[in-house]
Amino acid sequence: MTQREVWEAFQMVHLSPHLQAPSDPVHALRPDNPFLVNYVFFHHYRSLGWVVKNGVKFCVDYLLYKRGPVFHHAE
Amino acid sequence: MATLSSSVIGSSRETAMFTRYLVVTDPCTSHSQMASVHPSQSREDSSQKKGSRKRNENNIIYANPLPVSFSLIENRFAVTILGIFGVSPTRVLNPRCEGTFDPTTRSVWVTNRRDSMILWRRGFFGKGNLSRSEPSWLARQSNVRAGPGGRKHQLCLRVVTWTHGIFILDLTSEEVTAKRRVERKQFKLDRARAIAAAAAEAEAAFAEGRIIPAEESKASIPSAATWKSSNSNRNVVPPPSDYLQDAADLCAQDMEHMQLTLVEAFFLTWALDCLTIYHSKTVRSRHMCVSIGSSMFT
Repeated sequence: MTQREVWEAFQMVHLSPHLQAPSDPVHALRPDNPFLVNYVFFHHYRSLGWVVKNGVKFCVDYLLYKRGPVFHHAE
Repeated sequence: MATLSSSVIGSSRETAMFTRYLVVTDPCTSHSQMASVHPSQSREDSSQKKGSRKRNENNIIYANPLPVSFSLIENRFAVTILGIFGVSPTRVLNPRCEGTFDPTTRSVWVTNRRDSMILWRRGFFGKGNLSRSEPSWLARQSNVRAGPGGRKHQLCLRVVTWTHGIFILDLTSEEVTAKRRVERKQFKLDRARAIAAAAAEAEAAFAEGRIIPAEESKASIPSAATWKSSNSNRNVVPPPSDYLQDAADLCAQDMEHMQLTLVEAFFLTWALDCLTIYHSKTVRSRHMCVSIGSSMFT
């Protein structure tokens, strides 16, 4: 898949199945798409050097590790 | 065709680097060298040093914070000359991993063992689908297969360290957790039994009319500091033989794949450009084409 296909497919995943084939893709992909929101968070903290892991097992959105799960506990 | 050949060259170079990297971090060789340097090391010393040794190993294994790394050129003079003209000889080593997008689980599957190890060790991306975090299912299965006694099976992925003349299995994090839970459970059972015994004794003493000093009753109840795990082998039930046979069959192939979340996969694809994502439909159709082609030729 090209990067554009990946970009669109990853955002389409979070839509309900009825919207899978939108007539107008501009309206289907909104800036509050869950993938976009999560990606902005991930990219921000990953750029600052944190290791970002999913925190669903602790009832939070994300866990931040200083160097990695092997070295430190999450913060 | 040009991109294909360049990616092939890149991947072969990366594989060579990866194997060299494995040789460097091989715990057997490094530890046997250490043991030959310090043959008269006492047991207490080494058990204290075990933590720092583990940390050093982790520092080597997880040295790279991201999957892409930079090649360093040894010749300082050439670097200086090129630097004058504003040219950097450093090149980006790109591991070129591959993954398959799966819409139903909202994840990207990395089935290649080499790719998943690179992505985990350099930046802790992804999660094994049969493990807690690091894809360690195969190592756990081979540990189970080796049994509590640690029989000397030569398996490709089992990590064995040479310590004090005996082979010690390196436990995965899941096994460490399970062992600690078993020990805590046993500790609580022992403590409850001791408390019940002390209470019964106190009741009997009260009925007879004499008084037990508090220190004496306290001393018999184990606390977290004083309790020692007795021989843990008595709790270990050897798995049935058919289970062992199944495990042996399964050990032949790795049942586990690594799951990247979509966010991680997009970061690797877009920001670092080291992951190629295929759609599950196209992969299936490609496999079908291959199988049809092979059946036509046979």
